[in-house]
Amino acid sequence: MARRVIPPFALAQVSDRRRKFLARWRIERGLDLDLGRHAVAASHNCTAEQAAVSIRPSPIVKTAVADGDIRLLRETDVSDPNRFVYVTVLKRRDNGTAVVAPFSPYSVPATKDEWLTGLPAKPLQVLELWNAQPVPLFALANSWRVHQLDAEALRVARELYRHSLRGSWPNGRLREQVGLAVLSPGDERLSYLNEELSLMGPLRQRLLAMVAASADYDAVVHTGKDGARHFYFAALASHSSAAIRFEARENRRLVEVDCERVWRPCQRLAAATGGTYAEVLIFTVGKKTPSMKRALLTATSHDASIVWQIQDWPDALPGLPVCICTSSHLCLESFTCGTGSTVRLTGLTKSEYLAAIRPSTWLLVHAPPKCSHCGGKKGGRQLFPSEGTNGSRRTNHGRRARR
Amino acid sequence: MDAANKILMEPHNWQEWIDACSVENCQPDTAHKLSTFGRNRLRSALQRYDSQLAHQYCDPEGRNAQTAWLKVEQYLYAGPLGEATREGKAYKNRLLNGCANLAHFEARLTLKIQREIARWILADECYHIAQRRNPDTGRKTYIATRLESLDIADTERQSADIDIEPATSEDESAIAKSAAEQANHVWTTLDTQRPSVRKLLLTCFLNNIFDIQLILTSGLVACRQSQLYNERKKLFTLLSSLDWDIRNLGAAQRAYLTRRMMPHLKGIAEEWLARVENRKLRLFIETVRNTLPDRGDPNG
Repeated sequence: MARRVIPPFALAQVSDRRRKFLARWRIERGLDLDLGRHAVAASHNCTAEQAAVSIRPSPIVKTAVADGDIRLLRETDVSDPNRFVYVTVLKRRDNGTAVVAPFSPYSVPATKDEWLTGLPAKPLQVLELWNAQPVPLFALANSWRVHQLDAEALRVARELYRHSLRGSWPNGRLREQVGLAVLSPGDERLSYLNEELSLMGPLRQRLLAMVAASADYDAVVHTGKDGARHFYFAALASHSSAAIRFEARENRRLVEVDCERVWRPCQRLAAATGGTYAEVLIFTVGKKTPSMKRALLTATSHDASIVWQIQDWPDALPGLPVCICTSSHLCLESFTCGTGSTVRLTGLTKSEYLAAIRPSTWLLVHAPPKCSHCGGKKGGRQLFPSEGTNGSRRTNHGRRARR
Repeated sequence: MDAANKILMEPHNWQEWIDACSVENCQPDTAHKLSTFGRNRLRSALQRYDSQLAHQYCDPEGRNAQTAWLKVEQYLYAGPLGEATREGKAYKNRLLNGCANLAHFEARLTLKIQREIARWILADECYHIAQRRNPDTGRKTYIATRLESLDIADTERQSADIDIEPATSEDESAIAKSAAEQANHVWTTLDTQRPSVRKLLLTCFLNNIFDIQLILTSGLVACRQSQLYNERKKLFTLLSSLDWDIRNLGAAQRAYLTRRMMPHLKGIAEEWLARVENRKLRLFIETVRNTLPDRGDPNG
């Protein structure tokens, strides 16, 4: 038998600094579990009035999601409403999603794939790169932007994320900023990892719903006959099992036929402004009737790119799937971008470009339910609407339409 | 709680705090109520561990009666240091997000104070929770002790399986190659010595099936229980005596290397399982492993 060739290698002992990370983490974890047992009971003994009162929170200021953003997620985006989850955006992607990594509740890294960021704010001291995952941009835009990682910190975070994906160790100075690997199946840190992973469940569910909605477009394009096209929106609440029938060439009115709905361009009474507009239908999850808007078109012929600016849409969110269709049977996919009211198409062929710049173009937007913080009313919505009702709305994004 | 410390927060007090930057910018009445609210809750959490510590942070007659509430604001703030930005105080909106009424809001804030802020203070003050078994009753209890410093904390729990790792990135890739090489070596060794039983045992173990009785009753092995235990012993001996070509290989280092080898070995076993013509064996492993609870990914 040929002699085995084992390449030479060296193993190193971990530094005292990183041993102390683990020691400190265990202390914090022990205290956390112990305090948690008592605090949950104590929090139920509040004597404050139960009656409905109004305190106005500031509405979420919608800003475009950028790489390095640090954001505080809403209650409905995490599985534990009492846990404040901050995430940082590692990478924005072109498909309406962004890879984000959450911050740990503890002040020191627990594992090899957690990083001591050096940020002074207590909730932002440790980044969980092992828990980085893609989330839909529209959900991320509906969160509070609190801070920003600088370019160097973002570079380090991405490098550690790559180590996390490969299962490799960082070296030099960077190694001293991470914790110790979990190597034993009996390690107590595994339960913490499971808890943290489950926190992001609602966002994962939204991502899956979005992917399902986007994937439906392809199957839909070829089902049209006689100029009519059928679009399936997977998560459209009560009538989700029915096809949504859309006709772009018929008379300008909106009608409803049984469980199928047929939308046609609405009558525009105002005088023409000189610009070219596309009709916009916004299908909001949970709403039976779509809202109708219009979008101003700006086209650049030399690079065959088109930008639509959707008008008067206060609930705009970036990262929402958009289906762009024309009377000439062209159907393209895109996502809302910027602060959410912009739809951009680039790299079109000449025929696609010519078809899409016509005024008879339709943009179909698939939107999540309206956020309680984006009511669009001045000064924000009333937070506590009435006794006994929970202001938060949990959506059933996981359901997919049957065809 | 004594009568002097009883307060009733009004909605306008909370609104004032939410609109203001900090408790220091609130009207005296609101500031007093907020300070008392924070103090009462923090004291009740800290008192379980040390009444002196509770007094230190929550003394109404102390140098700064707002200490407890300022700790709350300091802990929850997530913006840049020294700037006190409005964005960094988004926690105020998050506290309100989804609350049905004022009691709900206060309960959420109470939980924050009594769990997270108390934890932060206790950890900074080197308090440590240890689980001890009462020698008389045999029941487990949690005991809080104050350590001299965190540097010496928990040293007895620094077990051997956490303090080994590749020295450099070159070592990292060399270890990965060695682990793959050793996995191949183990599998070929099994070919020569009672191949089917040991391969079956190893494949079962790699799929979290450790119950020898279960394997026996499956009817997949034609040997007695004692023979099967003997085979298992030999298999473990083989795994624990692999030559890693390192002098004075310690137990921790060996455990680490064996751990790194396991994913490779599992890959080989999966391939073998896909090729093997014994459908009953495949069904057994696939069925049993799918009914076992997930142990999580130990790679961290």
